[in-house]
Amino acid sequence: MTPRLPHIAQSACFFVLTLMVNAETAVRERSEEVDRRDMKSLSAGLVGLEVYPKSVSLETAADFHRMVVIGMYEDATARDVTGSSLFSLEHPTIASLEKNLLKPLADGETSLTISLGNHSATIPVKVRDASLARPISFQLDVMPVLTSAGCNTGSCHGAARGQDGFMLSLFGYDPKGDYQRITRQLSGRRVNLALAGESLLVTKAIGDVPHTGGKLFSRDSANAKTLISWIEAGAPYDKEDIASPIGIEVEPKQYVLKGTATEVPLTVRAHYSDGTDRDVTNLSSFSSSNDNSVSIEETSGRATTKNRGEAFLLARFHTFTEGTQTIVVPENIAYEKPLLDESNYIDTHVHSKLHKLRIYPSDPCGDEVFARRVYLDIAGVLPTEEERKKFIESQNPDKREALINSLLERKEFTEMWVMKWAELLQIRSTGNNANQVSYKSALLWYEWLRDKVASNEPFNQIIFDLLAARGGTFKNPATNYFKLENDVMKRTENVAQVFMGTRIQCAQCHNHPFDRWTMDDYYGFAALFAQVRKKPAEDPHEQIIYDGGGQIAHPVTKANAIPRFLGADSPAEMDGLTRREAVAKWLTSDENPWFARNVVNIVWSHFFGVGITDPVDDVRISNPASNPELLDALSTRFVEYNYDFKKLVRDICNSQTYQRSSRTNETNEEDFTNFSHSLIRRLRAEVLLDTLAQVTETPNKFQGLPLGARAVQIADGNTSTYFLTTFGRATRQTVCSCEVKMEPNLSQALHLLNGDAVHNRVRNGGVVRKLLKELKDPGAVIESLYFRCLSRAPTDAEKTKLLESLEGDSPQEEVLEDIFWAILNSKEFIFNH
Amino acid sequence: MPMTTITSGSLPWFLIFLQLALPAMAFTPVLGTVQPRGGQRGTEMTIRLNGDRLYEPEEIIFYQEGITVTKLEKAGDEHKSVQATISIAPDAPLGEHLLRLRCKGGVSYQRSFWVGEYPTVMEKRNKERTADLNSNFDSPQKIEINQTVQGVADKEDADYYLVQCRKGQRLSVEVEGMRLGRTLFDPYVAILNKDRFELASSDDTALLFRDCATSIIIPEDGPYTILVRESSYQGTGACQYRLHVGEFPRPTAIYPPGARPGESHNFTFVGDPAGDLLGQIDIPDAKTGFRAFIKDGEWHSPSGLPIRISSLPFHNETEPNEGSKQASPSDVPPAPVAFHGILSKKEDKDWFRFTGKKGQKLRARVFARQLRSPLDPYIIVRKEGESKQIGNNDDAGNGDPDSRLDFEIPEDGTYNINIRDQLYNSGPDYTYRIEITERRPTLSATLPYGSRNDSQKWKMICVPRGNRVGRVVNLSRSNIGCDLSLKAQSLPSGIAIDRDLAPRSINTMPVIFEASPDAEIAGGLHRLCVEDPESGLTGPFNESIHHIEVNNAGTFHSYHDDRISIAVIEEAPFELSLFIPPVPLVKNGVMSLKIEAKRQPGFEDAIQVTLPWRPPGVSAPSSVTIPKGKNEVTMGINANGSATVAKWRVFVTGEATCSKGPLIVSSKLQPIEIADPYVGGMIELAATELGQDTDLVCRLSVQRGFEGEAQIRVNGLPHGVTTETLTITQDSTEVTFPLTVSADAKKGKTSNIFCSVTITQDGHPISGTAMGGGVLRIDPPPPAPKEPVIVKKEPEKSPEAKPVKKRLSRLELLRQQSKNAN
Repeated sequence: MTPRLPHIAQSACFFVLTLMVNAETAVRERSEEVDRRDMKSLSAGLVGLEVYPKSVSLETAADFHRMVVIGMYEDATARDVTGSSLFSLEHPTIASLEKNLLKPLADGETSLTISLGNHSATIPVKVRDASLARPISFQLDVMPVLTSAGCNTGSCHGAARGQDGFMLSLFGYDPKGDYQRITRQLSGRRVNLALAGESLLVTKAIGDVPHTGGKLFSRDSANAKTLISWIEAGAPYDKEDIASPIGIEVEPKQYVLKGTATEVPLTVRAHYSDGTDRDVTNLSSFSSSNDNSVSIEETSGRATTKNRGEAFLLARFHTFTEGTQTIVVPENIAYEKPLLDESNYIDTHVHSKLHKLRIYPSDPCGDEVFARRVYLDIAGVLPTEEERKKFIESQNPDKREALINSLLERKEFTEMWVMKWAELLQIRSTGNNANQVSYKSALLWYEWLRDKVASNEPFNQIIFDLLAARGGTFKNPATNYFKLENDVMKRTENVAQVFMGTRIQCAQCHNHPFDRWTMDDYYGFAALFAQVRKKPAEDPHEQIIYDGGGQIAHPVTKANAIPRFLGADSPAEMDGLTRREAVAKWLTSDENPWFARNVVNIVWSHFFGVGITDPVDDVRISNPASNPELLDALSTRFVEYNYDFKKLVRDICNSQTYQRSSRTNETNEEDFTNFSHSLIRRLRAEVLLDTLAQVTETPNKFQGLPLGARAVQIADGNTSTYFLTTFGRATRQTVCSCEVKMEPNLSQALHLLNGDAVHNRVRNGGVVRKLLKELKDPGAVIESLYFRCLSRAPTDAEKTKLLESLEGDSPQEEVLEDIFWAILNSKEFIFNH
Repeated sequence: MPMTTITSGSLPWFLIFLQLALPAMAFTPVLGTVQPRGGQRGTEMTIRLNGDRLYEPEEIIFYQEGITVTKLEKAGDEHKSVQATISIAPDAPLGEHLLRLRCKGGVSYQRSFWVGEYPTVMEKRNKERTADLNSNFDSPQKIEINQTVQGVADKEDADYYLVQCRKGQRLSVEVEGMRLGRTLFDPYVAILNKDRFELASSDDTALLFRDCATSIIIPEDGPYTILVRESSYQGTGACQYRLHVGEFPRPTAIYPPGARPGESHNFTFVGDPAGDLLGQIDIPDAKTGFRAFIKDGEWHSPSGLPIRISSLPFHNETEPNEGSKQASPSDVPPAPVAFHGILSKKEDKDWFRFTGKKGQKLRARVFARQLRSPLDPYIIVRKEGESKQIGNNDDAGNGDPDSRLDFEIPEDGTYNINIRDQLYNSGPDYTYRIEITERRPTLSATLPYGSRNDSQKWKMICVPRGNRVGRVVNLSRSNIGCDLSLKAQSLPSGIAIDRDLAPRSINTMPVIFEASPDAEIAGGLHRLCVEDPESGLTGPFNESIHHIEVNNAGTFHSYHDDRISIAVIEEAPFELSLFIPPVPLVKNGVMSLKIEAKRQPGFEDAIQVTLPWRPPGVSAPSSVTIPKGKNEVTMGINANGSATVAKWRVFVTGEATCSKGPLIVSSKLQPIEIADPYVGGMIELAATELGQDTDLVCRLSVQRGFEGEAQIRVNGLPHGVTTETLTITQDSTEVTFPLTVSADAKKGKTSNIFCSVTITQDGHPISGTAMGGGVLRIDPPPPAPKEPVIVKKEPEKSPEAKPVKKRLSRLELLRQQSKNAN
């Protein structure tokens, strides 16, 4: 095939040319727009320039990089000043500059200086292989076009059955298969080697022939030119050793923007396995997590501010998604950075974020509110009248800290967290058959967890013991984790979701659309859980879990997946460990980027009602943490504390952030994610039932537990009552954090109002009779009931009104019981505030 | 209302009437529970045996020595309880004592009574006895140290006992729960200090299976609380337990775990909190079930540690032996040999060596869990110096975690066996014994299950005087194929057994136990055995009783013995006779058995009759019933085509559930011959159209001569087709059945047509299927042709063909038709 070689070279040159022309036009338009701005206003308050990328390396004649210059202002806001800045190259023979577009001329090194007013910045520029043309590649050039144009999405040709007879792998998980389908499935139609421009692949996309998906780009767009160039080059597939993208970088990483209709660009740079990089801004697709604050053009990556708020701007290229955090503050806001008390690092990070948002946090809550809140959050019980009194009357300036410390030492604290972890571990019975988890197994498993938590064993060690567990399901009850879920893939997904907080389910069938997970990641990780084996134990109700052989096949390649830790580039090192031991060790090691962050986020979410990443089990690039610095700081501390979450809870509860009032001010009333005030949270089902039992002095009775056991102590996810089910107790059927339902609903209200839960307990407990006998005075009884249930005294208005109701003919005890009933039905009782 | 008023004067008469209505004796006494569940040795006490139909108690049959009954009397008037005064010898073996209650009307199921060293106190319950008074940590029942408590773990119940202890004292607790054999009860025990912290707890233990024990050295003077509950709060009123609380030693393993009979050795008892204990044990001759007890200070452990007794030479491991180069002993012993060791170090492995001769068929068998060691062994056999495995094994199967590996020595030389825990676990009590033995022939026999999930039903052989009881015995042969005979080493006087030699091809055999009319009412435990008459090899007759078993899951507490209980009981109200016609039952043949009951006056109840043992290839209905008041029933049996041609003896058993309780008696063994059929042959294919008659031709081959005429009939004809019964003689070669086919006969192919032949010999019919596989095809009439006249005439011609003398086969007919057509 001698004629092909010159042909390829020719088309590659043409391709390079078209790319350059295209980039140039875009830059010109934007810079003209910026020129119109008042230079004075750009210079006022400017404290520095940030140039992206921070260094440029240009490889081959086709390479280019577009520079973005951001002005940083004294009020911590940023503006795009690219068009108003002056660019100058040290050696104009090495690279050429067309406005802000850098192109290679000759091999060598130089520097680029950008200046605006008194400020300037210099970045290094390297040029390599400036005279070499870059051959067009299916995987590096064509596939990105198909992805950026949305051809391989689920609603288009990425659907499992394709669209209109043409199927592409969803988000391009199978390039080889896509190549086959494009070039071989309908010979001469999709790809016409004789008349490249007449190929259906092109004519459909540019709307020349009817296309269900409509016109995606124009004939003279870079995308169309890429496709045509590739077809003209003979529609080749790549050589085996072709460089592959290993990641992308989206810059700037963070923006604070002022006012509406402010425009800012994003730049996306892809890094390749051969050490090169490319500007892939035009080949990326962009989206915003909050269009109301910042909108972004899907293909150009140009963002425009709208209303006050926060948005996460995402860029996706190849299988990679990265994002940028943007905050929009009003143009003219009466804001002055407040001087706030800081108890610890938590406050520092929260206050810093609030400052960026120009939000004033709420005032600290009063002692009464604090006592109730901290008792419910740490111990899951209400303070008794005496406990409350002791705390309120204490003159100790550190009494809050002392109370937190004393609550952390209570058995109830352990039980609360055993319950929470038991939900994530899905501790529940499934039946009495040897293949199922019996009630005894579930109970032993719960007790295993309880003993570990109670003895303050480092949490990473507990999880290591769980994931590497082997032995009899009675003798080492943690092994029930592997009995509960037999399916290797579900087991893998559960581990990722529970212990890493990320959902990799999508990647079972295709590369994850909103996250970094590919099918290779998924099956490599699943392979680590593929060798769990079971055998009968001597006890007919027991099984022995151990590690044997076992593989999982990658559905695209059909080959056995090579065990790989999630997100790792190279195969997992076993070091003589079993696969499960290896993954448990990796997951729970200090270096693991997921584990500690995930645990602290879960702990945080318990105390604030919302996670720093929320939902806590859906960490993905497109669902970023609201305060990444805070999350980092917490996880660093957690590791330093040797995974003792008691210490973490102490930090959280001692922070000013936790002790804020739930009353909002003008600036923070709309904020639900940045912890500027305390959120009003409904009590969880178990805690509500336990507090009901506590204040009415009626012990609970649950199946399989002795009389008086607390709902928090229920070992088996399968044990429930009507009350607990109504109030959304987790059945532990799935690992989803949504198992616990905290939303109030009508049936809950009706159950409290009309059901027997409250009424019978008020009657059977005889609390009112006892109080009447002790205190004699009905007013004192009312006060005592308020202290008991709401941890506060009744207001004068309340007291007057309630005392009036006692004046009728009804027996005093009955009326007081009604008052008790009414308090228990009040929102104040059901919510923690 | 005089009818409903019972005056004081009428009361005695009323009671007398009731007394008369109740039988004076009864069969099959039911023993439910023995209360209390145990006692202290060296004392005398009364126990109650509760159940039903406990009339005329004669004796308590104990499986072990040490307990004597000094008085046995009925308790109450309803025959639901018997009271016994027993004397427990000071040296009575500790632990489980199995017993049965023998009454004049039968022997009860096996139950247990437990002997301990401590006095027993009862758990305190409320007045109504509906709940206990110690369900709270704050209101425990106070007990003394060195006491045994008998209590109940009710549903969601926790029992607390408070005991005062001194610093340095050993406090041991052990619960007999599941082992009491009453219900699936999984106990849990914990020792708590005054702050509620669990100092020690135990749920399941390798030594005691689902039962539990633990032991601590008391850290400081003061009260300690012992908590007992069902491990998952799922107790019931039947979840009784015996909790031993005392200073007794509680080792968890013994080393070495094997010994030779008749020898005396020093053993190390491992696992006690006070450290290892040494004790000299005299090994008895008994081969199975031996347990060694250790005493420390004044007290023994409540339960012993199993030791495997075998005359095999053995070697104890010498450390280090973790690798092939360290295999021990240095002086290589030849197989057969045994090795003992403990996997005590982390991820421990032990290597041993032995010599083998080419062609030696060996079995390596590990005794670990069988001896209640926590070890789950995994073994590998290699030739010394080679890495290639000859074999490996984890589990023997059926839930037995111990390893078993059969292998053959490829060449003379030294071989290695190494052992580890399957999960690389280890501990000071991970003891084991490996036996490498030659695979020798073994024999054994058992009684099969009488009912699913009831291993005790009909396991007692209770023979009414002057009557018989038959049993089917399961035979087991390993590494041998031989005929087997059953022998009784002893029997109650007046009982004889009748049985035949069981040929090598069968694994079950019928046995009749017959009591003479004047046999004394007595009984006991007797040994039977099976024997290969040719080699003289014998094997035991074992009995396995599962006290706790769970449907489809397995067993939780069992007892094994080589004795079965046999007794002579009161006369039964009926006798059974089996009449088998004195003609053979031919293969593919049927036969009617006649069963006659001879009833005692007054006994009218229905009798359910079964044929418990059937010769190979013979089947019978699961049961037939002699109706109430009747004396006779017939049972149709049949032999299939592959039944073994031989002479056998069979019996029938009748079960009557009469007012005196259920009872079984059997007939004598009666001969029955299975023979080849007299007549065979084949049925030719027949085809016709609806409404047209045809013939079914059968070619006969008489395989054995018979006298006179035999009747032959066709079976399996489709609806609408009829024929007649014909006769044949031993000279017949063919028979033709004229088939009348109606216009509404079933269309299509009927392929299961067969002929049965009944030969009468000495007035007794011999019936059987002579030939099968016949096919009749009935086609619908062809569609009416356009020239109906011509077509209609053609069939009219065919009746004219009938006069042809020779019947044509279907093939011949077709050929002829084809010829005519041409």
